[in-house]
Amino acid sequence: MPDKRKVFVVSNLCTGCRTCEIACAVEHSQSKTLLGAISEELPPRYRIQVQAGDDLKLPLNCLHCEEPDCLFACKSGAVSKNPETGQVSVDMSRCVGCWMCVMVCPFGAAQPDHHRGKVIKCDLCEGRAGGPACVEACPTRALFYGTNEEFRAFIEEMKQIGIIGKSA
Amino acid sequence: MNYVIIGNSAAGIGAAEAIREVDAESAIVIISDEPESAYSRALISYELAGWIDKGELTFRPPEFYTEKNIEVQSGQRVVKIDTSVNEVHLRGGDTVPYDRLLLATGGSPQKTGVKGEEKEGVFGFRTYGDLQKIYKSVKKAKEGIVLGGGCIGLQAASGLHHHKIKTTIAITSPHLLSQVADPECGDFFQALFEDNGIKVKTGVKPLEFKGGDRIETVLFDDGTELPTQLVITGKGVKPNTDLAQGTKIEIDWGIKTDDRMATAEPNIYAAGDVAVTKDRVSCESTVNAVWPCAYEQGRIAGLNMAGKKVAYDGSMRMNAADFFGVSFISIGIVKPVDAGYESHSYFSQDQKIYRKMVFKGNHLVGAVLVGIVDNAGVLTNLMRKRVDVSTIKNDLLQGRYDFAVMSKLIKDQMESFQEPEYQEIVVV
Amino acid sequence: MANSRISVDPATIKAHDHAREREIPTVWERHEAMQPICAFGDLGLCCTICYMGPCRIDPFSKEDVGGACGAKKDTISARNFTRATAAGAAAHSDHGRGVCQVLLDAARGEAKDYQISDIEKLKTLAAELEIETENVSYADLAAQVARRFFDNFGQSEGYIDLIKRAPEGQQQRWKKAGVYPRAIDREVVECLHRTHIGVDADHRSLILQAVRCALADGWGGSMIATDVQDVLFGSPKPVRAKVNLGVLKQDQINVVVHGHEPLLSEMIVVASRDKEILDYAKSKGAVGITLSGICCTANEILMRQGYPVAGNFLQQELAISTGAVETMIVDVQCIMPGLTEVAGHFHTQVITTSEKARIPGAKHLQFEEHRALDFAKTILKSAIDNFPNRDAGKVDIPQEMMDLVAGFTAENTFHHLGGTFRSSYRPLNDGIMSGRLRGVVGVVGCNNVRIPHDSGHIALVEELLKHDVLVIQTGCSALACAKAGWLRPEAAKEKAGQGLREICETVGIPPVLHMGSCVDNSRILVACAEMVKEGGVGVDISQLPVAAAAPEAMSEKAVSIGLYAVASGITTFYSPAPRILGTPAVLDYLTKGMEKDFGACWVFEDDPIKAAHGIIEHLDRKREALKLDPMMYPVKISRSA
Ligand SMILES: Cc1cc2nc3c(=O)[nH]c(=O)nc-3n(C[C@H](O)[C@H](O)[C@H](O)COP(=O)(O)OP(=O)(O)OC[C@H]3O[C@@H](n4cnc5c(N)ncnc54)[C@H](O)[C@@H]3O)c2cc1C
Ligand code: SF4
Ligand code: SF4
Ligand code: SF4
Repeated sequence: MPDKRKVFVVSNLCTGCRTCEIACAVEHSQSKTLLGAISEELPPRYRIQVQAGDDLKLPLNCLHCEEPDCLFACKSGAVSKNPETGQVSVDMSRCVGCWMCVMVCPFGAAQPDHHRGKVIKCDLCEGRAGGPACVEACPTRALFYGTNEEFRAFIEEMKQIGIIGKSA
Repeated sequence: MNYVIIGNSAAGIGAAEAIREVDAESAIVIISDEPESAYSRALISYELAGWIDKGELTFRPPEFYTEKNIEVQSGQRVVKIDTSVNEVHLRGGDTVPYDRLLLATGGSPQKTGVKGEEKEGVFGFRTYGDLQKIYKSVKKAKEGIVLGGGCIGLQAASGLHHHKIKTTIAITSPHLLSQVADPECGDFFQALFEDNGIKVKTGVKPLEFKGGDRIETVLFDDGTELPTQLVITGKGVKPNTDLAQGTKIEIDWGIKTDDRMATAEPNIYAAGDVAVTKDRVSCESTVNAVWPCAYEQGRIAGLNMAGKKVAYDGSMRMNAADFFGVSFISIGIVKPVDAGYESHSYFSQDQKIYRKMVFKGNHLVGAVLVGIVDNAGVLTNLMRKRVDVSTIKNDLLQGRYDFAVMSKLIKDQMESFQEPEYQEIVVV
Repeated sequence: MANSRISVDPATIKAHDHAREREIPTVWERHEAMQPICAFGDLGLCCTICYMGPCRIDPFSKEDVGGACGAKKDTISARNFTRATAAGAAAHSDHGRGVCQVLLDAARGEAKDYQISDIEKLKTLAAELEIETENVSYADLAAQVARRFFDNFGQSEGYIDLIKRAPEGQQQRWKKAGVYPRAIDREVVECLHRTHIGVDADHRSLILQAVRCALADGWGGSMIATDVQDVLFGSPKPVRAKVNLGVLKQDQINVVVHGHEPLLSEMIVVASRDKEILDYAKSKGAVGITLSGICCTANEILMRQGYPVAGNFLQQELAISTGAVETMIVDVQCIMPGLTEVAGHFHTQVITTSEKARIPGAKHLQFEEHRALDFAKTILKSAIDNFPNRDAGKVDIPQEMMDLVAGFTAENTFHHLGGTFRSSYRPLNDGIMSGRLRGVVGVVGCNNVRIPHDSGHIALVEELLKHDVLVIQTGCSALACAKAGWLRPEAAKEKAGQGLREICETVGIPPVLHMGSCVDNSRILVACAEMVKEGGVGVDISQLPVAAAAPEAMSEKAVSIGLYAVASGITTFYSPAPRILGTPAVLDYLTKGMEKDFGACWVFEDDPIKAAHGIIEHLDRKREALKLDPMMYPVKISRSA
């Protein structure tokens, strides 16, 4: 069974503190430290965004879609999907900043970075020892990294211990 | 099973990849009359403009074909399809048998019909070959003219400008990007181009390409005659439908397809710039000659050719580009002709922001974004899924259309959001 | 958490291990549970001032659109900084007001248990305040001084009195910058007013008000507290004592006083010597009563009475978790509410005594100055009554304990350098001018759980001593070095560079001088002013080869102290930085701009060794500018650390 792990969101645990954004930006900085990151020439950008609805706080990053529109649209072949891990990744050396993926990602997860002329998208913190920085940073466990099954189990557990409503 | 794909570009590769997802064994042959291995023609303008390195046009790695066990026949032109014996004939006389055949032959630049079109220095802008020829002329040219004010024309002009050629864009329409944007927006880009040293001449038709063997001037219908050593024409693209002759394949400008990308001829499919499909937004049959549609159609065709039953939900008019650091995205019906539509636009010259939304009834049918293009895909998705957006219309008009805004629609219109990703997001 | 992240003090590590084994969470565990720390807050980009918010500014965003009201990050972090200063100044100054009240009550005979202990100091103060001293009773004099100081808090005209102690150079800079402090309360109030939504939005203007407020603390509230305490309880004199958790005694009743004001603790000292109380203790099976302190209360009874110190800020819970403390008596400031949780695991009772500070889970006994000694006895009795409840099985006292000498002041400290007969700052200035001493550095401040306990103080001071820097200390910082043994005269031989050592050995003082509690940082200001007055090392504090450091700063009071030190011309090395690091403009003003306005600036350096080297370079620059003699015994800075 391929190990398709990604970042899942339990939106009603999100307090909107945006710590995940900061952690993501720091992880994608040159220095990998907060103070270093904010003073870099070209500050790093985060790949997760805490979006706000009426009574919704939704941290959103790439969903690593089954049928990734971004991949279909990418005219430079920069986007690929790993058949084993399911991860949709962008080869930055190939990205030409044409924003085709931005135009089609249904979630707004592919964002234009005008300063670098390349797209910005969650890379699942590839190569990071502790796994995704955003997940590790979330103080309320609103983000979860794992497979779909693991996520369902996690949700069940959270329901059992009453952290999220059973009706949800 | 023998799969034969004519066309080694977006649609062809999309199909081959899809077939391999389903069928790891059978033979796949891709035939292309271009000598190069798969490259992205949409990037030739990027190369000309120096935005990418020369030769960086491939959109799949070199090992792609061997890894996927695909046979490619490059530089081979198919001249005929013999449906009686399920074979295609190559120009050299060889034949290739098929069980399933995909026509992913794309399109070719339309002739301008202007006198002198055959002169040296007048180019179409479609292939890597065209690009090589342009490079040769670029060295000698001081002045250049681009005939066409669409995305490709503007990119071509940026390309010539990059090579220090005094460039003029000359168009018949009254403003740039006339197919995909309003005058306001077109004028904004005109000013942007002029600020960057590229002239724009609107409302003029070329009457004649003058000179000896080589182009020397272009005469326009307003009487002006501009000296030039290089002309790039951009009249539009015509589907390469020649191969359909002598088959039952139906042509209506392009090749007519059903929702499985099948043509009227059994076992023959068509996809990409050559194919007529149903437009998701307008519901009309049309050719939407853009990369994402070509790839996706190829993919749907491939899945069906390999035995899956997958329906195509339709193509869409869309395009994205970036000119001098200003992004531009245009999706769906942006220049409605009849009264059944409702348009709203917002423009700020200072901030270099333009936004237009077009609605029909409770549906979003079109959008143009300039400057800020973040979350454009959310709008694309709203159009694509033809969901009722009445409850979030105000948000849209005010430029708020991130996923959180859209997510309000999911619960009430669950049937439109069946993909697994939506289940993941709204799980609690 | 690794022990190296906990502390560099073995007693602390042992006590913490003991708490951990019993699964008693303390500040380290709670802090760990706080992770990740919110970066917006950390960077000072979060504003909770009005109720449209909270708003926070994205440190990575392309443009700063500001909070809901339009306040950009400069405004937001300057406002937060100003509020922190105001809170710190308020804490020190309210302490000052409290002791003034007792001075007045004592003068009027309403607080009979207190008396005027240092008549000389009272007279000097009165003279300084231009109060007629001839033919006036001491009580009357004291009442007049107290009233005059009260005026300093709320007067609507004029300026605070003690600011006149500052050298002319400082006076001029302050007037030019428009920060001459008017009244103590007024400056605090004005900070709050200006930082209310929609008032001051200019970061420099805000910080200048913070400066004015901090000056009202350093040369006002804190200085008043110091001076009045000296009058009431006597000016400290060098005393020997012991420090660290080992001062707690297995066979004795352990009473720990914790907090800041000496009013009650001085009475407890008296009560604990009371025969009746001692007999009562023995009747319950204890050999005696051990009274010890934590934080600045500890410093107060240490320097005046030579009482032992149980520990500094981060050790407060650990004192309880030794299982041997009957009662911890607390008043105000730096008292962790977490204490009562820890106490809940033992027989220890935590008693709050100030009407300003009540803690859930603690017993509250309202301290009454008018019957102070009785009150102290009552508390001691209740501690004695609690002794039989002690569970011997839970007792685990780390044995670590260190000798120290404390009790130096602005008046007496440097006089030691000259010996009893030459009572002046001359020898200190001479020592600096001749290059025996590189300069004088005040290392002060708290502990901070973000930094391994005491590690910053120890590392920084050790490096300074090597380079012939005379270190003066207050607060928890002094206690950190005391535990390391550097407040013993013998430490000169062990730690000091050659020049410093010669001076220490000649005079018989430690290389690190304990100058009291946090409000006693005002003593350092006075000492600097005296150095200027003595002459030869600069005509303005900012020219002196001096500096300050707070390597483990934690409280808002520390912000106020840092700011008045810098504004008084003392460059201050401070870590961790207050929450302004997300705002280049504010950072720039504090670390550069202030140099222009005040002749000194903040330096935010988290590595204590690098900070020490920065200080040394700073002192050398000052020496060079004054064209002082080269250092007599130059030591090369080893950068390997
Ligand atoms: C300069 C330029 C810029 C563009 N920019 C964009 C853009 O920004 N965004 C976007 O979405 N789209 C863009 N496009 C359009 C996009 O490139 C096309 O939609 C896309 O390439 C269509 O792919 P296709 O596979 O259908 O056909 P094509 O790319 O046209 O490929 C056709 C293939 O068929 C082969 N072929 C044709 N006839 C025969 C035959 N008889 N025998 C053998 N082989 C044959 C050709 O060799 C070729 O391999 C751009 C196009 C150009 C030219
Ligand atoms: S970028 Fe968007 S379309 Fe692509 S995989 Fe991620 S969520 Fe899906
Ligand atoms: S912006 Fe980059 S990743 Fe996105 S479609 Fe264009 S080239 Fe591909
Ligand atoms: S997984 Fe990594 S890259 Fe992706 S959103 Fe989280 S922090 Fe950012």
